Amino acid sequence: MEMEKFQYDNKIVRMFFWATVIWGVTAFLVGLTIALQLPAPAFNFGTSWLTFGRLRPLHTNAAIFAFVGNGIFMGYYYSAQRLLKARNFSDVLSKIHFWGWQGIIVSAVLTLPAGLTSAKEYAELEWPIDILIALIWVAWGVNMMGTILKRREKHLYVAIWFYIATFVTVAMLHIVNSLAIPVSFWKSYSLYAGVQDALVQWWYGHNAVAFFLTTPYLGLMYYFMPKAAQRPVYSYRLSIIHFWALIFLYIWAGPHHLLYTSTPDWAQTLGTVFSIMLIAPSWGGMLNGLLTLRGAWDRVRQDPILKFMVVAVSAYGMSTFEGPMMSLKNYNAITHFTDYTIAHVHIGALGWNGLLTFGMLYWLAPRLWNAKLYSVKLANVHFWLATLGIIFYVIPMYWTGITQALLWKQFTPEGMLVYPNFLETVLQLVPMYWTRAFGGTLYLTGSLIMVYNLVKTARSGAPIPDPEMEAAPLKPIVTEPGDHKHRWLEARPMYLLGLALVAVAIGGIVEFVPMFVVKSNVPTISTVTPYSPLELEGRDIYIKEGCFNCHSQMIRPFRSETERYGEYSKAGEFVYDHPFLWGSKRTGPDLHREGVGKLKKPDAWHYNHMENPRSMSPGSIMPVYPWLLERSNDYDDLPKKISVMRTLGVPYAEGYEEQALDDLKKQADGIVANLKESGIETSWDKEIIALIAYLQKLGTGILPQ
Amino acid sequence: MGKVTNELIDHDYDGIQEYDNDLPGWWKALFLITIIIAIIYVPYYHTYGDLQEAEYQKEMGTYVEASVGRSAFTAYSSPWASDGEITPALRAEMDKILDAPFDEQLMRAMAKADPDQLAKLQAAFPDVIAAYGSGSISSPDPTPAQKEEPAATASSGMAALTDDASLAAGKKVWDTQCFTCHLNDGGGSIGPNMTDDYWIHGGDMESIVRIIKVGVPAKGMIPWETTLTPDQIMQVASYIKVKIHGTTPAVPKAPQGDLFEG
Repeated sequence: MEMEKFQYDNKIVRMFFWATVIWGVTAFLVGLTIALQLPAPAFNFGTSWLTFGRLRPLHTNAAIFAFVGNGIFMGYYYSAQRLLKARNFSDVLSKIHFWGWQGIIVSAVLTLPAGLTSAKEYAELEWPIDILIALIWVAWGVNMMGTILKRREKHLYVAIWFYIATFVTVAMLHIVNSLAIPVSFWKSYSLYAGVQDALVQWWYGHNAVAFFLTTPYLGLMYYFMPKAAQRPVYSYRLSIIHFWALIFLYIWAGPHHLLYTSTPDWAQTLGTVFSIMLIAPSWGGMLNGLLTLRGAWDRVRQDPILKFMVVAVSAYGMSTFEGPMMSLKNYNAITHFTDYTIAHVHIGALGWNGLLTFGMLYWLAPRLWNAKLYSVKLANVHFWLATLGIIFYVIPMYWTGITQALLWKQFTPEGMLVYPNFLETVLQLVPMYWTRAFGGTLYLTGSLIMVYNLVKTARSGAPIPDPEMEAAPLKPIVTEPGDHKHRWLEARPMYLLGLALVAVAIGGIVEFVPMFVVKSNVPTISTVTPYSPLELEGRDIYIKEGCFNCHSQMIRPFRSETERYGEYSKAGEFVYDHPFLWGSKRTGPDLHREGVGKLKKPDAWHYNHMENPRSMSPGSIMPVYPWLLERSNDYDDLPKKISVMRTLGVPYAEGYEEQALDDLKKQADGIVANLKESGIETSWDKEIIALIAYLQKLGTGILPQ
Repeated sequence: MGKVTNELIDHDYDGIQEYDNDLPGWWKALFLITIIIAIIYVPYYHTYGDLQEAEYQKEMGTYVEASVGRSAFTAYSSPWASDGEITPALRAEMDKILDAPFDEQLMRAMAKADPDQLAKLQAAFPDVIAAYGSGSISSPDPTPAQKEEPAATASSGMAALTDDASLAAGKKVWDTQCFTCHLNDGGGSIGPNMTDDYWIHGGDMESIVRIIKVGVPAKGMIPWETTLTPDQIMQVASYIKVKIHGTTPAVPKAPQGDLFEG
């Protein structure tokens, strides 16, 4: 048979290799910075660009999309060409993919600290960048499907199934969740409101974990682990079952991020049961990884690459067991809104994604530069620093989480909260926050040692030329006798892609349709009114400063929360919230009833508190916001904001755009006069005025001021 | 158990081979069990379990059968409630029996102004009163020092506490909470001056205690009744009355309200 000659593109792999390394260190560094900001607010440096509320999204985006994202593409470009016996479909698309992706990351680095954010977790980037992401993602998809179609290997290996599922699902998640109407080039409002927005967001957020941090990395595991161990994969059948079960079940589990919130009970229940059913499919991946090492365990002792991989896969097993446990309502009642969740995600991010990436980098470097790894010893040192770093990170964070839950919920025999002052509960956590930062330092130090080791390795060799390969072209696909059904499917990539899309679409459709169509899911409350123009602008400042990164706006139906904050949050209160701002973590107290009842504070209190939180709450760990007192807002976008909101269904009267600024001034003047009574001189157009108006509006929907 | 045959599939991908081993038996069992749990749990929970509204009402002690959801667990109690704790519902019940808010009655009794009320409370809720206030009111007999007619009160039945321990405790509350608006020396900034003889809502103990408890939300005074215990409210009110009032602050805020001498 005639053989075809072709070359693999190694250059693109090297490009993604260095991008992974550089962005990895960046993500860890930003992570360490925000870890230090919690016990020591001075690390906010008194500038708006570096406050916790703005840097935390940068950290999560850098870790997920920059570090892990580049890791995915590095591993994909190396493994897919070889598994398919074909060069990438288009070198131009590969380059567009690489530079486009780096461009997205750089734009995130520039916009997130500037406060340009959509407020949706792990989807914070504003709409122009969202469009760029969609285009670059599709460029990768086209490049991948093109390579698959011109492959010289009849059947697709399990790694490729995972890559395909990753591509279609992330495309679907990203597009549906990012739908928004622009107000200006850097501002948009989510298409969905309140409970519906929350459901869409956590369908996305949960499955970003599933299809960005999990499925592509399982694909990588299926290539690099047997390669590094030089052992056959344990079970082909297990691959099939856990692949389909995983992608089908994962999509449904999003509402487990919304247990005990205003989300309807039925949706919460789905989130719980689908999480439980995910245990076995998740462990299927871990088993296939660990059992592949049968007969190679002696080498795990000597080979740091295998050590990294074994601990990575074990961390995957731990966090995929813990996740379903956290989805049980009684357990979630303890862990939700606490740092327990932070510990959980870092087992996944530092353990599973981080260590697997390090293993791949050490495995690839000698092969990409045709050299021996510069120092096995340093790689071992890195392994131990990273592992210890994880331990010093997660143990204090688990401790913190449980501590928070206990302090928040404890009652005296007289039926009063033991720690009614939220700050008291925060101050207990400071030593643990220091310990966590120490763990992060170890992890970062390890990664810097890795950088040195990899650079030395690359310097000692030279980039290998693209290898000359030879393989027979693919024969027309025909069904062969004895092929079972899955074998048939593995030879037909477009069917596989279609079937994967069906599998991942079902869960979302079943949860969304009733949520959007059946009115009783969001009972209306007649006293809930739209935000006034000033409140709307204040809300945008709340979003810009990233307040939702530390303050929830979701009082759960627990006595401990209604005693502390007031009446629990109702679905109907959020109908004008584009986007919803429930938050996912309470480093500071919940703010949903900040404007009513016992939590309501004078305007002057907020004014002084924003200038320096410690003047009003000694010991507070909140950053200072003096610029809010100085910056003036021109409100040029106000008419456009009103009209976009009306398009989204907020009942502002026709023509209200014309009157909005006058109303805004009137309300602002009232607050200015109020502040004056307390001896504070300011003017109506300062950002602080709008923010105060918004804070005073919070919670008034069902309990009039 | 799944069979481990270690039979290789006659195929490799870039040198990677695969065994066709059967799935581990325990893994299959685990998957099956989780599916069965899911199938049973959904209808069971939504038929017999407490949905979150019902769970909340039970925790608050306000649950009425069939008012919301359905439940087979009539003896349900919240995992967060401990025995003998006063739930909001129980407190409402006490208020009804005493014909006045429970806290108010308790504080009066604590100020030893109303031994009758204390006796009544103890008769009605012996366990609660024993556990309340760390026994500070366990004896209805006023101590000799506090027996004297309190001088600081004009018409009210409630007297300021004057013992050092109470005033020190009151100072602690003042210095950690109240100072943000009223300043450490009571001169006032966001909140009114507490040193002068002018009071917006009355300057007798009863009025001060009431304002601390329920606040003046419209003007920004926070209701402290869920943040401070009745003991603490009593102590800080006494601290204001005995230690802050009548002093000369560094920067006194202009008087607000009406003159109250007493």
